[in-house]
Formats: sequence, C-alpha cells, structure tokens
Amino acid sequence: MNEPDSNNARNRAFAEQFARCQNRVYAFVVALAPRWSDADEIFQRTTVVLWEKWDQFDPARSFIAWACGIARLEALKYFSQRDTHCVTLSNEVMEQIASDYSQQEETLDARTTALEQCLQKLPDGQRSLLESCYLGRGKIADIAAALDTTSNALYLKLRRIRTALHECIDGVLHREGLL
Amino acid sequence: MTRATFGAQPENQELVRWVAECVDGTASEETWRRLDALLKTDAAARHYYVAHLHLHATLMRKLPAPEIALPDVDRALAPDRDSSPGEPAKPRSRWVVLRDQVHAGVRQLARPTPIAVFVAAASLLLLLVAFAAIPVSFEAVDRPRPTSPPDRQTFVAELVETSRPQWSGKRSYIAGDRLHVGQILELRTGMAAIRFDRGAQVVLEGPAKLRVTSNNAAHLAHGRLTANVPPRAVGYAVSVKQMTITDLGTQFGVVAGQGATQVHVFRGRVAVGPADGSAAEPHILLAGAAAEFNDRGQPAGDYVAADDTFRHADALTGADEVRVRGNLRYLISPPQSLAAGGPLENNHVAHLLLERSDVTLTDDIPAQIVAADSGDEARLRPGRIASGTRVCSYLIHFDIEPVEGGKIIQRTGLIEFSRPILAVIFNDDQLAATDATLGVEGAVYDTETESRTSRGFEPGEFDKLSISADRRTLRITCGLGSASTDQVRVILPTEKP
Repeated sequence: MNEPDSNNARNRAFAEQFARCQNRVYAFVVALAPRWSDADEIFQRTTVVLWEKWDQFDPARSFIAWACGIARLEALKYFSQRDTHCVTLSNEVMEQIASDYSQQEETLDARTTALEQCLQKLPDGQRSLLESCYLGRGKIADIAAALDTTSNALYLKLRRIRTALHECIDGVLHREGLL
Repeated sequence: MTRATFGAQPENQELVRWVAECVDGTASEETWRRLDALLKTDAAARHYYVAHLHLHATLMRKLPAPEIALPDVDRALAPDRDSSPGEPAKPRSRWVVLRDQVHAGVRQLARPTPIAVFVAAASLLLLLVAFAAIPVSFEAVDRPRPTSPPDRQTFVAELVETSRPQWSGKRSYIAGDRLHVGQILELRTGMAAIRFDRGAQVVLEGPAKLRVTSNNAAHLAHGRLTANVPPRAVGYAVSVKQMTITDLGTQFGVVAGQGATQVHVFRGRVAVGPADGSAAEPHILLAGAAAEFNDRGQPAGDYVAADDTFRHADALTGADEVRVRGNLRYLISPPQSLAAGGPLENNHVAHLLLERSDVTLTDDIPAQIVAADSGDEARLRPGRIASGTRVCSYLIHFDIEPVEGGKIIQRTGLIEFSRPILAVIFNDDQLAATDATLGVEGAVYDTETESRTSRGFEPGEFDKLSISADRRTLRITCGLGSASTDQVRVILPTEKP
C-alpha cells in the first residue's frame, strides 16, 4: 500500500471506530469529570490524542478500553494543570472506574438502549423539563426563573426524574435478565 | 455495604445524595473526598456511580431522542462487506480517485506560495475592512417579541446574532429568538448566526434558506453557511438535496445552489454521502480540502484548496472559544462605535465581542491580574501584564438608554472561555490606556469623544464580577442608572504557541 492509500485507510479506520465509540468515551469522561465544561475539554483533548496515537493502536485490543485509558490520562493531566487544587476523584478510583467501564461495556450499552424506552414512558412535563435542562444546557438558575421556581427545587425535580429513569432502566434490564 | 448489583439503586442514601450533587455540580470538596473514599472500597457503590453518571452523560448527548436527525454515520462508515475481519477495509474505487486530490489539497495548504499568502492576506484585509463597515442591526431589540409558537414545538436552536438581515418568507427574526424543529429561516441579504443546542454554531449568509431539523442538524435549501462544531456536537449534519454532510469534529462551509454543492473543510474532517445512508462508505474531506458533489453526494468536480469563499469563518473564531449565558449576546462583528449611545445601546442585554485576536504587547499594561485561589473564586489583584506577552482581548459592553426616575437596570450574564482568563481591565484610566493596543482597530471608544462619560465598571452594590477558581468562567452583573456604559476588557493568552 502506498502512502496516500495508507493514510486514507488510517483516516477511515479511525473515523469508523470513533463514530461508533464516541458516546461511550464521552460517558466515561463524564464519569471522571461530571462538570460538562471539564468533560468537553477532556474529551476534546482525548480525541486529539487518540488521533495522534492511532498508529499505536493494536487492532486486537478493544478500542473503547484503549480510548478510556487515554481519556483517564488526559483527565489526570487536565486536573493537574489547573491552577487551583480541584477536588475530584483520585487516580486510584479513576483506574477502578476505567476497569468497570471496560468490563461492563455491554451492560452500559444495554442501559443506553433501555433509556430510550424509559424516556418514552416519562410524562410530558418531566420529559420537557429534562429537555430544558439537558438540551440547552442553560443555567439552572435561569431555567428555574423561567419556570417560576427555585434552583433547589429544580435540582430536586431533576434528581427525582433521573432516579425514576434509573429505576426504569434497572427494571428493563431485570426483565431481560441482564441485572 | 450497598448491594452488589451493577447500577441498581443503593440502600446508602448518602451515596445517592453525593452522586446527585456531583451531577448537579454542587458537590463540596468534602463530598468529593467522602465519595472517593467510598468508591475506592465499595464496588457496588462504584457501579452505581458509573451507571448514574452514564445516564447523565447519555442524556447530555441524546436528548431529544425522537428529533435527533443524525445521519447514519455507522452505516455510512461501515467497512466494505468483502473485507476480511481484522484487515483494513478496502477503499472503493471512488475513494481511490479522490484520495490524492485530498492530500494534494492538504499539501497545498501546508505549503502556500508567497504569492498565495499575499493574495490571501490582502483579501482578508479587504474583507475585514468591508465587514467592519457593515453596521450591525439592533433595531430588533426594541421590537415586540413575536408570539411564541405552540407549546408542543421543540425548540432546538437559537438565533444568536444578525448583521443587516433582510428576511423573506413568512416572518422575520431577531437575535435571541428560539428556533424549533421545522422552522425555516429565509434570508434575502445579510447574515445570521444560529447556535444549535448541541453546540454547533452556524453562520448563514444571504441569500439563503435553512430549515432547522434537530438540535444537531439542519437542511440547507440554498445559500451559503459556515459551521463550527465543538467536540460535544460531533456528528452535526447539514443536508442538501439528497446528500448529507456530517461533521467529524471540524469547521466547514457549504455552498448550495442549483448546480453542484460545494463543501469546504477549514479544520478537522467531514464525511459526505447520500442522505439515505445507502453508500457503503462516505467521502472523507480533510482540513484544507474542498470538493463539489452532485445531489446524491457523489463527487462532481475536482478538489480545490479551501479558499476564502467563506469569509465569515474567521468571524466564528471568537464564538469557538466563548459561550455566553443569560443577558449577554456574543457579537460576531463589532460596530464602529463602542462609545456611549452607540449602536449597541439598549436596556435588555449586554454584549461580548472580540476586540483583538492576537496582540504582542510592546509595553507593560496595567490590569487586574486574575490569580488562582483555593476558594471557589479566583482573586483579582492589581498588576501588570508584561511586555512581550501575546494576548487576545474581549470587551463586555453594556450601554443603556436614558431611564426615568433613577431606576437601576441590572443585567447578569455568564461567559465561559475555553482558556483561563489572564486579566481584566475595568477602570476608566486603564481602559483608556489600553484602547489603542487592545481595542477594536478603527473603533471609537469614549476616550476619543469630547463628552466622555464614565465607562468603567465599579464592583459594588450594582456592578458585580466574579471569576471561577479555574479562571474560565466569568459572571458579571452590570447595573446602570442613567444613560451610560459599563465596559470590562477581558484578556486571555493567545491560543497559538
């Protein structure tokens, strides 16, 4: 294979893997850095490093495991570069979570699929509230003001909705024998 | 000890609360420490944490599920069926034909000739001058807001800025309008910037007609657009006729008309293919490449290097690194006057604009240096930014109309930068001292007018400014009680090495 062929195959192979796994990698990053501004930055850095190191990827390995390993290192680097002491998870727990992600990949995918069903079951009002808070990523205070409620009350409502979704997902997986 | 079932609701209600606080962004340091200690030793607790954060992340990427019109990327990017497992998929012949041209485009971009550099620079200068001469339309601020569409419509995007827009079609729009799925924007002349809720920013240049199809997709009937897609919006799609242009993390432009559709890639890469996903593989365009495609997304012309056809790509650069919330609007193009009573005067919103994108300081300049602190907020301390530092500067500008009865008008907004803030400048003298160096070139500031009014920002009862501990988020409340201005200059290090 000549160089352009090789480059194109490289580009395409990366695009294939990345398109398939980006949501899972992003979810892993969010587990390490729940604040979306942190998560976006770490995910962006991870994407760049994945691309740069694509030549070193061993196709026999799981792409998601490889990507999560890089994301963990990028998260550590990101937090260590910040000027203030930023409390988040320790390196040891990050490693444990990375291991959980790698081992529970199928279960987490099943949870994603089950979420679709559970979202459909949500009352319109709750679904609309989720959309307002997640879709636009507006400030909770602004959304609360628009809804004539308080930030604390809105946080509580969101927690209840997420708990309901979590339980619904558990139920779906239980019925399917996955839990 | 919590139950050892993956993801199941735990009995430990403290864990539930801690995880919820992490998701909400309200967890204290102590909460993080206690959570970390628990996760270290309790696998079930960790599984619950992972499952709940996974739910949170999926919601961030997914909603609203029914309306997301992501192209069938997986299918479009699927390997050839005749490839053996474990082997790289075989490129199709069309791919082989295109590849050298892609790389030729990249090479051309990587090694521009001196003449090309000169022509590009001259073109850019002319365009910037022409663009600066276009006054931004703010007449809409005073107009009554249009009636809200019915509740059932899903709002997925926002019109964030316009420049001399003339709308055709059923209605006109103003900055701040929320856009719902199916909404059609038909621009006869001028420009409009749209921010999709997943994060993609699009500048539409009239004449153009665009239909919003989801929080991460649009259909371009005709016209010219530039899209700037942050990582969280990867997969942003523009459909044209029967083809789809899918972002793979990039900035790209599209020109659609009666003939072939042009796709230009400024950064990153895009995939182009039929909208129905019938192609076994898409056409990947890399940064610096451009191509023409027929209605079905098949190549219709030779590649050419991406040029300055999309003059407004540069205007998006600022939007790329900042995000504004609340009563703030990001201005794509600064007006010629940033003095009191100028075109930005209004009682509704403050504005943020990019003044200079890359300046090397030739002298030390006085400023409030933003210093990290162990608390929730960064500290401001008087100091100087050293000569030789490369910086970019933004201006927060709030300029109100005369108000009767001494009423105080306060507006609060939040700005998130992708890089830490280096310093802010908000007192009169320091603003005046830095206008020439850091201000918009050619723009008029109050220092240059005879009837100079106070333009500085006075932190206190009505004016408030705070910067997060990571120095990336600035929260500001501007309070004005008479026809005057509040201005704050925000200094960041230049991104380029």
